[in-house]
Amino acid sequence: MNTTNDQYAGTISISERAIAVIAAQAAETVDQVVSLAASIAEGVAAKLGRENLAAGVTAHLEGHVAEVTIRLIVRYGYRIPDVALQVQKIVKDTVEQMTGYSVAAVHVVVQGIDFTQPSAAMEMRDDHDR
Amino acid sequence: MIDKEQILHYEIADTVLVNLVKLAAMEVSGVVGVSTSLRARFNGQRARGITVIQTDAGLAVDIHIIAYYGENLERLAVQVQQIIGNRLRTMIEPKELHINVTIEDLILRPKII
Repeated sequence: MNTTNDQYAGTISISERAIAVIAAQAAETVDQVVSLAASIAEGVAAKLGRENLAAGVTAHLEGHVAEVTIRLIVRYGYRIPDVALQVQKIVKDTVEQMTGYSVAAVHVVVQGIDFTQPSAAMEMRDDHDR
Repeated sequence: MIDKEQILHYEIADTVLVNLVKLAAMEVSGVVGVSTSLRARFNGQRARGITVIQTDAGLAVDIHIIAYYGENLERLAVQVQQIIGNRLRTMIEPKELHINVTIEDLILRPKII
C-alpha cells in the first residue's frame, strides 16, 4: 500500500508467509481445533527441529487481497460446519486487523478428527448410553 | 575556509547506508531482524535483507524485516518507514527518498517463565 505520508514515498508490503503465520496462530486459538495438519514436507522439517509457525496453512496474495487455505484436525464431538465457520471468522478478522489487508477467502480443509480428547458433551452422552 | 560557491563532492558507501537503515529499523519495538526470503536469495538479491540504490536523483531503500507475532503489521511497517526516513533525512539529506518495507516473516515472542 502507498503510505499517506507525504515526506517520503515508498511501499509497504507483507509477505504471504507472514499472512500464513498469522492465519495459523489465529486458527489454533479455536478450542475445537486440535492442531493444524502439516504436510509431509512440513512434518519432516519439524522432526528435523525447524519450527514452522505456518505449518498447515498456505496463503496467496493478489495485491492487497489474501486468500488462505487451512488444513486442520478437529476434536471429535463438534459440528464440523460450525467449527469451520468459526475458524473462517477468526482467521479473517485477525488477518485483516493485523495487516490491513482484506481477506477474500478462507478455505478450511478438515483433514482429520481426533478421538482421543472428545468434547465434554459427547462424553456425557456416551455415559448415558451405557 | 570553504568557499560557498565551491561544490563539495563526497560519496557515501552503500554499506554505511545499509548499516544506518538496519540500526534505525531495529529501534522499532516489534522488529526482530532483517532478512530476505529464500526465493529472493535465489533471485540474486543480497542476503542481508536491505538493498540501497543511490542515484543522482536520490535514494531508494528496500528493507525486508522479520517481526514478532502480535503486532499490527501495518502500523509497524509505517513506523519502520518513518524512523528510517527521519534518520536518512537528517544524516544524508537525499533529494528524493523511497523506502519500501516488506514484512517477510513472523516469529513468536519468547515466553517469559
